[in-house]
Amino acid sequence: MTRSDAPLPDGSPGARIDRRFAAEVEAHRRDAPRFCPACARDLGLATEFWEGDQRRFYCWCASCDWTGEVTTTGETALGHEPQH
Amino acid sequence: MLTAEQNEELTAVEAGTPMGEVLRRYWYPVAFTRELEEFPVKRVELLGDFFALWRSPSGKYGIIPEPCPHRKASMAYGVVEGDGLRCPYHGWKFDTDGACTDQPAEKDNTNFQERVRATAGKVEELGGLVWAYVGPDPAPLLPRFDVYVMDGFRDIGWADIPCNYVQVMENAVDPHHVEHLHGRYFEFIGRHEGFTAPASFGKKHQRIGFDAFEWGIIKRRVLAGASEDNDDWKVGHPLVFPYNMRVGGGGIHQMQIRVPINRTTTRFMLYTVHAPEGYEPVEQQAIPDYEIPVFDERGHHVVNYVEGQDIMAWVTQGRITDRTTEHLGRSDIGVAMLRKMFRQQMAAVAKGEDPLGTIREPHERIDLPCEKDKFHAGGAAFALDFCDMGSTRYSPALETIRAVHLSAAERVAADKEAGRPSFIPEGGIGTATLAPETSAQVDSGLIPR
Repeated sequence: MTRSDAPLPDGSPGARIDRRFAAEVEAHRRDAPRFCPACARDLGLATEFWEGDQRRFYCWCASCDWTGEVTTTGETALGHEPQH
Repeated sequence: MLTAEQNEELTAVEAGTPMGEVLRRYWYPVAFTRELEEFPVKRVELLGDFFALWRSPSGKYGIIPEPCPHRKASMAYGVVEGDGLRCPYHGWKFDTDGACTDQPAEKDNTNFQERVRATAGKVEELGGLVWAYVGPDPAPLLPRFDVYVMDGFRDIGWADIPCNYVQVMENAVDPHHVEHLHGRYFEFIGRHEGFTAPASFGKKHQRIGFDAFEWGIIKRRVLAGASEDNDDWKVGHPLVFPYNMRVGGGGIHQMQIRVPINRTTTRFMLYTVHAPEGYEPVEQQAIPDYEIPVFDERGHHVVNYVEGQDIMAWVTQGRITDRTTEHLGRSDIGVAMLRKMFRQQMAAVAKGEDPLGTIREPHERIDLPCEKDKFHAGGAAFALDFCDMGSTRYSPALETIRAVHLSAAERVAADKEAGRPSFIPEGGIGTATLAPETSAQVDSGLIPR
């Protein structure tokens, strides 16, 4: 197996810094959970993803191995609405 | 979405970084067996470091860091003598354990040579590949995964691709990409280039799920027209932590290998064993290897075959994709799970534990779960699509491989007519790992379509 001369990607979009989402990067830094809901120590990892209007964080605690999702809600608390 | 610091930590491969220390606990393929038979020394780049790899006339292998401990000349230009490697500059010689056994210009009555060692790794040959371990002692055993030891006709495709290996691994826990990248996009390219893309790749996903298991993560899917009783869900196929994915179907058994050469170069290898039901052994003197195309003469990605499409998606994300500006959805939950697994193993190694998927018990073979009936597309039909529409089209053994599948299908039909069972090659047939009535650990739920 000889190393091929891997050329540079042809203007790959991922090669550039994407400045369109600076506000979301900032929001992630602000809102990502820092402490484990189970043991209150530093969280190991919180990967943010979106589901509809909700921002969710898939979390794992390096101290107690807790895994779960944390969802930001803001000021609003929504209940469900029974059929009427 | 991650922070920049987390992305930096996740994508590092260098010694002394948490992830680099995890990666140094595994064995990696660093050469084809035939290469060192043709010339016995090779310069190897692995995990951002350079090494000299050699094979002695007696068949013993060695690997040491490339710079000679004397004055840093390259040992990859060394002379193989006995079982050792002699530096081309002043003749210092090292054995396969890294001991300096000769310093020709120094006086015999000093202990200088005992004070200078090269840090030797471990090397073994398995399945037509030369494997190296360059981490701390004691080295784990080289895992003898099913594809490397099972019966069948083999070939190995490969390409060096200019991106970090983590984005390649994230693709292994991303079932949905298949229906788009290898379905709609393939169809679109086919319409413009005048070929028909395989229909089975475009089937819609109804449900995806992931289970952590002893070797990594099992990925499951339910496609339109199928149910939880089909192999794609019942068996699935695994990401083999930290740098492989086992795939198969239609009598094809494959390990997709993604070796972190350095932080922004990944050696992508397709180690394939063709062993359909009804297979009649074909003698192989050597396992053919072949380079698959990444770019065309215009510098554009070659996207009219399956793996070329994957490579395009991995490379265009950037050499190290910026995870601070991505937007994951629920369908990317497998990606989040994999990042957790990487982070878990960093913590395990920091505590002095063995990370996931290292093995110290002697074993004959490790069978990995892998669906047999992929995309419920049928056996030989899937295999022929695989030959024509995947990287196998570039294999020097393409015609033999097609003949293997066609003659096996004919034999199975004849056996069926005669009422006798067909020969089934041993191994590689996955078994269900999900107990009935249980859900996958991380599950997308039913997606109405």
